Amino acid sequence: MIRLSGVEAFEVLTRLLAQGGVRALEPRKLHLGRICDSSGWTLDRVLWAVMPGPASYTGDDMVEIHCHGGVAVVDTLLERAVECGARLARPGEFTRRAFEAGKLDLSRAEAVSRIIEAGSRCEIRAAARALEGELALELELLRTEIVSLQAEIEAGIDFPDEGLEDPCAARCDELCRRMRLFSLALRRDAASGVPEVVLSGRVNVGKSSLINRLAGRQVAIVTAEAGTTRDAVSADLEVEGRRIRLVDTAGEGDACAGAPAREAVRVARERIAKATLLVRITEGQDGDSREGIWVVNKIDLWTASQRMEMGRRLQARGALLCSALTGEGLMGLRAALASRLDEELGPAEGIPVSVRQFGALQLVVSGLERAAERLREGRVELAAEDVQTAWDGLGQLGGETVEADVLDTIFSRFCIGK
Amino acid sequence: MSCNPAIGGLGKSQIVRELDALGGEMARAADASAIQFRRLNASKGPAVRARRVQCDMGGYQAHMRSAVEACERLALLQGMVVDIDTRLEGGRRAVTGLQLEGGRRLEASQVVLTTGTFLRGLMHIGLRSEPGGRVGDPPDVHLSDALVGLGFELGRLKTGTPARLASESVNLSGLVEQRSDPTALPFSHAWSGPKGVDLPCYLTRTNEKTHDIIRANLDRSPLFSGRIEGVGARYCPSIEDKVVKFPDRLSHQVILEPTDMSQQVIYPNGISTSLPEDVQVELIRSIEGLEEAEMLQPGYGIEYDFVYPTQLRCSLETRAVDGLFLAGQINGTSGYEEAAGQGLVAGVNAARKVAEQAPIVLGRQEAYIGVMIDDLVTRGTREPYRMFSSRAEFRLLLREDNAVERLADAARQIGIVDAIRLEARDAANARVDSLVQHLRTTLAAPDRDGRRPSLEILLRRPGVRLEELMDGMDGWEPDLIERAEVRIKYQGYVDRQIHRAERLGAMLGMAIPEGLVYGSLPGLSRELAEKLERVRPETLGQASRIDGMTPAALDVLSLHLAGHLAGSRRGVPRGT
Ligand SMILES: Cc1cc2nc3c(=O)[nH]c(=O)nc-3n(C[C@H](O)[C@H](O)[C@H](O)COP(=O)(O)OP(=O)(O)OC[C@H]3O[C@@H](n4cnc5c(N)ncnc54)[C@H](O)[C@@H]3O)c2cc1C
Repeated sequence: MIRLSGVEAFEVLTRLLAQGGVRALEPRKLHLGRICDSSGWTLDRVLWAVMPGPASYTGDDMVEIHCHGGVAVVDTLLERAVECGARLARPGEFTRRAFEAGKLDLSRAEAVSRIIEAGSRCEIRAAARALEGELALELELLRTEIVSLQAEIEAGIDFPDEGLEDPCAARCDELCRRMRLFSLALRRDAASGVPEVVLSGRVNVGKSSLINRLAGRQVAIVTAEAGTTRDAVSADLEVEGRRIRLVDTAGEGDACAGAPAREAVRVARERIAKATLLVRITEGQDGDSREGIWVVNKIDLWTASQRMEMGRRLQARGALLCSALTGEGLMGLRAALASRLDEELGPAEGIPVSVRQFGALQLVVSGLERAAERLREGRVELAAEDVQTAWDGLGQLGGETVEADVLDTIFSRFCIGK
Repeated sequence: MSCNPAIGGLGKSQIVRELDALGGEMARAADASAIQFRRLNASKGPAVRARRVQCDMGGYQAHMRSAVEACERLALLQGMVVDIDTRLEGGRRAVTGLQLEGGRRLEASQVVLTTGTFLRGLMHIGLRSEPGGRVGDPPDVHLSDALVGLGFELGRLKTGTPARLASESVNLSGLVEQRSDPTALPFSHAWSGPKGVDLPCYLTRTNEKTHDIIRANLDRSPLFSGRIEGVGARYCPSIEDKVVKFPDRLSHQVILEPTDMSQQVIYPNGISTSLPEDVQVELIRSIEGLEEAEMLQPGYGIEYDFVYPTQLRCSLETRAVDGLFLAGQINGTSGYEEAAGQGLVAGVNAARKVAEQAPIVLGRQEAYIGVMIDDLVTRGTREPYRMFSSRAEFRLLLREDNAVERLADAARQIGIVDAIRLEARDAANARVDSLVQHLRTTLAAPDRDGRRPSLEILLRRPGVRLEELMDGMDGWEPDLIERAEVRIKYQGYVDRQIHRAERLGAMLGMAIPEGLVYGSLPGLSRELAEKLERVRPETLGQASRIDGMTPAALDVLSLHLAGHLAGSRRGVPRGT
């Protein structure tokens, strides 16, 4: 299907269709037509429909042309449309226009754009769910609650003769609890889109083998020679429904300390700083699991008694034992990756939100926390400010600045006035 | 004063303090005629505390009259205005004068119209209605037509007032007495007179019998039979409204207030009504203390025309007619303080226009008056507009205590307050600054852990008062101490609000050229373009507050203003 959007969409359509092809632009109805080249030869027989703005997806006048599949046909038709005055859309332009025309709120627009970029099935499903407005629905509920809290505080301030009671801090606490719960159902997506898991460890400890093994294909070059990996090598893979990027770095303590190697170590440090999760790989006891996952590799070389003794001890300290060579322990590693990422980013199947949205959510939570504290101190006018901060956060989360009609709520709830 | 003579209340009291800071008379008139001083929200923070005084109606009027008469170069004329003269010049209409009843004509290049509830006023008592501007005054029957003729769009609003009772017929024994608060302060910054008399109010309540009487007679209520078409205010409902809308409430409070020094008339606050006279007598006599009450004058509802205020500029000059200013209830507001706030702005700006000076516009972060006028001209109103503290997003900045501080520049520009008083204020402001500085730099005695926090840090803690922290505060005026204390206690929050005000100010203060054709801007929906055409915001900030404004549309506007949008979108994108 080819879509046109913009003020001249209908004119371009008229030029595209064979003479007499357009009798009346009856909205939202499929018409049969022929698209011809400049000399009048038929390029394809198509079905077309027009959707006048502002009641269309983008809010502009829109045209949809259903042509016969096949890349060649589509390409020819696109070329012809450009001849007739159209230009190719930039990525995400339709969605952006729809957002600008007020057709989508920001959370929906972000969901749509993510469908376009979605790399795994699970992401598509989650994006679709956000689009269905699960997020929007929960936000709507929270919105009503916060407005009513605000209304109670404001009514107590503005109508001192009515003997109204200030809302209790417990209400705020409860809202906070719900917001935190809600945030557990969200999946934060890094700006780059895919969370990075960075492997680190001494030279030749087997990082590249491990990455190849996990990715199920040859990503990094593996030789017996130490320090083969100079640049960061990465592979995208799916772990329990979540797309991640494994990044292999140059080994620490590189023997050949030439300039290129030093550069590689610098690149590695950068990647580690940006990583969502670190996997530290060692061969023996020199590690810990404080900063991420600790993997002890090459256990295929261990004797049975080593496995009994040392293996137990290391496991008690949080190590995962595996062998990139035989594949032993890799299932455990995958599970550990999945659960650590769940902790870091929220559940893989959660409602996807951007880092910006998640920040806005933190604003809501901290605003409500402070409001509860102020209410406990009896400083209602400050609590009102904090609830307002929470409200602003909610607005940013949904992408729409909706004004709280606090006064409406007050007058519908309280019998006020002389 | 059409209703009970009380001045102040939340939001309103701040307006009175602002008027005082700018040179208005209301605060002094209220202080001079006060018969009861109250302090509202005394237990809450300083930003939401407010004053309210009950005035002696005659005393208030007399004070105002002599203040007006004492003005040099002010001529007072009385007469009924029947038409507004204008002339068309270069496509623009401008005021030239007024026609009075009886054929007299007044020349004027600037006119401020403040007709209150008089435009086609219609008073209702039960199913009987009669033309009138308020009890005892005829309505204005000409000016509505004149305004429509000039192209203005008018709407209709409704308000009401309760009956007045004879004091000697009311039995106050057994009712709860309400007296002045000992901590209450006068309105005026310069008031040094006595705190006046202290006359009590009394509290009583409606009961189920009252409500039954009302319910049984709703068919004779002009409100519920559809005779009143004007929109009433939700915060000022009639007693029949309250009974119908909140059937669960078995009782509503009634405050019996004196209206003047002689205490002969009682205003029963809380039972405004437009039910028929006989029903009013019956329902009043069902209330404790009022069993034998004599009604001096029945309550009534009144409908009147108002001009949709979105047709005004921020200076309160109309956009359609040069030199014609509107202020007060004609702009859809209700209340003395709201009317006074607009009166000052419209009057000052009319005078400045004669002197060819730029208008004074107060910002939302500067004054409640600024909030009110911005609300009116930007969003308009569909019910009588009253000030509430929750309408001010910078409430912590707009306090009673700092009115002279925040309006120092405006007061100087306007020039009503004389130089001597301005200097005295500057000196007081400087004293507050130095006290705050002192608290910041002085360390407290060591605590148990041997730490010595500054007095400022101690004072920030909830519940800690300045007097407890410092000896030798005896020489200080209590209001200056309060100002210093409030500043420190609110510091963090106020900084955030100032920061927000400044950020918004920089971004949203961007001026929008007067003739901008919104229809030609790419990316604006037709609906929003139409709204913008109607309101014609003067700044981006004002545009942002129009109902239904979207962030995307604001982006379009700001990009256009910054000159980044060249012409409209060209070409048609496409995609597969
Ligand atoms: C019945 C009633 C109940 C009210 N209840 C409340 C209340 O509960 N709380 C509250 O805060 N406020 C109340 N108000 C509102 C308050 O009185 C007004 O909002 C306020 O007084 C408006 O001030 P203003 O200057 O705009 O008009 P007003 O005070 O109404 O003054 C208008 C003046 O203009 C004059 N005028 C009108 N037309 C002409 C003409 N053509 N030529 C010459 N002069 C003209 C009139 O004679 C009048 O003196 C009530 C008002 C009424 C009438």
